[in-house]
Amino acid sequence: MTACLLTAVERKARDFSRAWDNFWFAPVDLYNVGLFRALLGFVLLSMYWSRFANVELFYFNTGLLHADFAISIIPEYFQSSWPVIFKSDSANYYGHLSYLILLFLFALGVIGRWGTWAIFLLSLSFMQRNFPLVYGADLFAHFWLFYLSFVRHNEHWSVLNLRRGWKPSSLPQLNSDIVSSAFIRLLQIQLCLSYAYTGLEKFKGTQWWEGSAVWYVVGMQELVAVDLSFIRHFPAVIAIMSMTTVLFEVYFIFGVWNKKLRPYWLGFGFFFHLGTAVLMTLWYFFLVMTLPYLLFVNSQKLRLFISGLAARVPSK
Amino acid sequence: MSPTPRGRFIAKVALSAFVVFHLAAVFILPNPDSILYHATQKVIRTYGTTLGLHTTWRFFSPNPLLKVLEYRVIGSKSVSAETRHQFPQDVKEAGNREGFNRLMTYAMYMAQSKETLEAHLQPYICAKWPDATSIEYEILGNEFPAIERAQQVGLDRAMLMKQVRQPAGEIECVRSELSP
Repeated sequence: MTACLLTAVERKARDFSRAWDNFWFAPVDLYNVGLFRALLGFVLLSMYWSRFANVELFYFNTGLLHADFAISIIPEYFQSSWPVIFKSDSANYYGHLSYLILLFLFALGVIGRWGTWAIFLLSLSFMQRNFPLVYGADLFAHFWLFYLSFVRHNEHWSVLNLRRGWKPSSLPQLNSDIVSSAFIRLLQIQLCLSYAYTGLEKFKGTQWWEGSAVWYVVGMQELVAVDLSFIRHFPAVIAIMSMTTVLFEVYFIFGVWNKKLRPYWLGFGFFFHLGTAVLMTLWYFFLVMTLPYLLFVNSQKLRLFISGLAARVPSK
Repeated sequence: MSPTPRGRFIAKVALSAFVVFHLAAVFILPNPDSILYHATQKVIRTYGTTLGLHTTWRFFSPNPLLKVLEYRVIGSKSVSAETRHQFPQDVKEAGNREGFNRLMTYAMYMAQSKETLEAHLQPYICAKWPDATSIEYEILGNEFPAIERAQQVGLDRAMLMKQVRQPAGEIECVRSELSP
């Protein structure tokens, strides 16, 4: 009896170990993460180029916030014991310039994991230097940079491959090492967790519960340039939009891990974020949120899609 | 040189341990009021704050809310004390839409208390109006009527909106403390 029990436990442990190993460490095609990295790199380059236009206002001591107060202004439970801020104006200027140069190299796939760590640390530095300026796109970008710091993301979609004669439409199959596999999984799970938390936070508010939240967003003329108040005549539409926002976010983790529901969940998410981008000019947020969807797409289908696009480009 | 099977096994065990720890961290960190957070904060909070992974993921929650900071310049000869200024003024002042959005986020953060306004935004505002003696702040919120009420009155958005002003205080411009 005890021997049977032990055998059963051993079998279960072996099955769990195999499932764990398969989930976290099975090799994945690096094509998707390479494309994600390349597109994310250019998006962040553009976003932080816009920020660089105001570097004096945002990060100089003669601007909005002196470096001496940078840490104390952060809420206590967010304060780091080892901040990595630049204190002088010139360090902030050249630090931000370096950030842009590294992002460019990151986008081109020239730098790998170690270079990405440098970008991540610079991202952390500017977040801590002026914390009140940080908003959604910065937060998600910071997380993506953290995970990509452990991934071999520049095997594909790198300009370095041009010397090998590799074309974007016909990149060979290159699989990940165990560290890359684990961190790609962590990035996927982070996206799901972030959606779940943001959805659950909305449930704390009466407006999302009663289905009127979208109506009040429409009323924010500082964010929504177009007057959409005609929508008051379709209260059911407002309620459906409000509730589907919350349901999409809370159940993202279930929808996206189900193979049958995945395309619909990702498709809805794409158009949902596109809608917020069009109405509220949150274009960077749209891109930073939807680019990780590439990690959920079947790599063979993605390759076929890209090959199809490349075939339409007229050759010289 | 390929790792040995034993080396690979050890690497997987170490990675698995990190994965479990990190998942616990990103699960606990967004909820700083929870019992789990308080119980684990020595390790998990330190990990999160060191790497900048601590965030609450609150976007338009619990309710969509946007507040704008307005101010009047007192004692200046170049501008009337009755003129209302907004911080940030407009997209043109910020240079680009991204800059404007960031400044709006900044203003909402600073407007949380008179102390943060005084310490961290006042020097900038006073430097903008060199001959001002003080700045009077108000936090402007827009009240939007419920859908049923909006259906009854039939007005466009600008007419539906009701501005709600909340005084945030008058703060002196102390010249000796200002940056040149």
